[in-house]
Amino acid sequence: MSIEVTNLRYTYMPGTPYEKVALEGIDLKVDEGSFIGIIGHTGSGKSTLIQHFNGLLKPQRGTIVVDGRDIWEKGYKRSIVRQKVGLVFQYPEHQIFEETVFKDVAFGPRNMGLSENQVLKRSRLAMKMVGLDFDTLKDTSPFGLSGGQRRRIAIAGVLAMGPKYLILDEPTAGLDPRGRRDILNSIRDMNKKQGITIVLVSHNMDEVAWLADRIVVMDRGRISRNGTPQQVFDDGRYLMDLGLALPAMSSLMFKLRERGWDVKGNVFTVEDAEKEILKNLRCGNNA
Amino acid sequence: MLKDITIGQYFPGDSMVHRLDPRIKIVLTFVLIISLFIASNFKGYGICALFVLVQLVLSRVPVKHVFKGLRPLLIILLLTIFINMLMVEGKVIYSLGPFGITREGLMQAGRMATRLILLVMGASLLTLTTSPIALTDGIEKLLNPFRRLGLPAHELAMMMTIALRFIPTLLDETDRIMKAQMARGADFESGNLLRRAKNLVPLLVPLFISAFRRADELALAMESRCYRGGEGRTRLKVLRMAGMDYFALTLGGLVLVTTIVSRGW
Repeated sequence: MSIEVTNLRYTYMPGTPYEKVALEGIDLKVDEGSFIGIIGHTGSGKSTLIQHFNGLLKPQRGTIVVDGRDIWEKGYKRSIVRQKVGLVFQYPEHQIFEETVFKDVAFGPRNMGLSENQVLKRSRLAMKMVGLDFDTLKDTSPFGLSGGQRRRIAIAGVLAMGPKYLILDEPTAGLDPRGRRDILNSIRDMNKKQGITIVLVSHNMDEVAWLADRIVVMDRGRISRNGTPQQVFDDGRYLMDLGLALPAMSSLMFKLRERGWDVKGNVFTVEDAEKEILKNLRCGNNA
Repeated sequence: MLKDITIGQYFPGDSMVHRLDPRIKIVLTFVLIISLFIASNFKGYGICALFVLVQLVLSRVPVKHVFKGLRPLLIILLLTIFINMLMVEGKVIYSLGPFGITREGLMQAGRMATRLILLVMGASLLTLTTSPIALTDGIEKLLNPFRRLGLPAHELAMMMTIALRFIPTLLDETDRIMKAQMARGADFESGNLLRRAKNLVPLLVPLFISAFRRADELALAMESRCYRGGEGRTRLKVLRMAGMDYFALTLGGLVLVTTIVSRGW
């Protein structure tokens, strides 16, 4: 089972002087269980693309097939895809509106028409998945919590619907290092332990290099690269030209290479970088 | 899509009318309104119509846009014509049961319709050729003399500017929160009126919170840049009267005088 995007095209404000092509000829397959990172500079179409995954935007051309069914075919209920594909927007804490944490997390499952028992069970599980204690927090006001906690509650609100696929748009933007690490660890566990498929949109190359098993690079509404982190980050020059950065270690390797060292570009951890450099020193072929 | 809504009706351009001082344009609009109410016969209306027509041609705004402003007026216009036609006493030229259409009624209806159409066209031309920011600037300057009477002219203008500035921002925000709640299964489209109103809560609460936060941040940002109200504040674009402005003002004066004189013709 998978999300399959075929030949997708989307234009903002078609037929006006402000017309802008946001997506053009997008083909992408998100396999169940995988972890995909989407990178690209601002305005490259990342956010527009992910809003197609759960039917918030209707493609002007092309199809979106989720688990074998075209979500825009006649008779298909959009509420099904909204439940299957959870979408966490940028700064999701801004969507919180209820007076207690539990009520807010339960908003999604209640809209699905689940029994109160189920709602409770799912909310508890969702909170656990984002590393928050349900019993101590459930009756507090979400507005009194810290930014990082509020964001995790908002993510739990989407998880409580029990999605098979979870799409996150820059979930770590504006958080301190600890808040970042907590959220990223939770996301990794969702993928590894719960088997939830993750699509992570990020500007942080270290995050995607660390977590994703496939990376999609977007440029001006098209997919320009699609491969493993090793493949994508090996071509440092290309990403730099796009105005993107490299993971810290790849960046170091890239600079060494520019000085004539014979090192690989796709190195992401300090340990691997150390090995690469030592190997090079032993060979003694550096300048 | 919410993004497709355009704010105001400013039609960007660089015509003579666009370049006029906003103060002059506001004054001229008032001159037109006063003239329209002074005019008592079709000669007077002719002068006003000519005035609007000259503005329209010089502004190079497509006529389509000016007429678009008239559309909401249609019902009022029809009602005015209808009532005037039937209710004014005079020589009956066509009778319809207990009602009769009189010659005087027909004339009166025509006068009213002309007055309304020219009024709205003149006002539309003002907003079509003046950007909202220039307009608030002009209003501030024009209200300045009333400051002595305790009218907070600068504050009023600043409030208008800020409101205008935040309309697109809040629209964007609404769009985003709406989508985020829809992703959680919220439904904004179906159900009866009461249900729909209730369903708006998940949209309105975050929107208000964000509006308050933005207001707070903006106030802080303004204070940190030493904003203390309009006292002693200089501006980037100083409104200065040029030759064209004096010419336009003279033209407006002429229109007013001729309309007054035309009452006796």
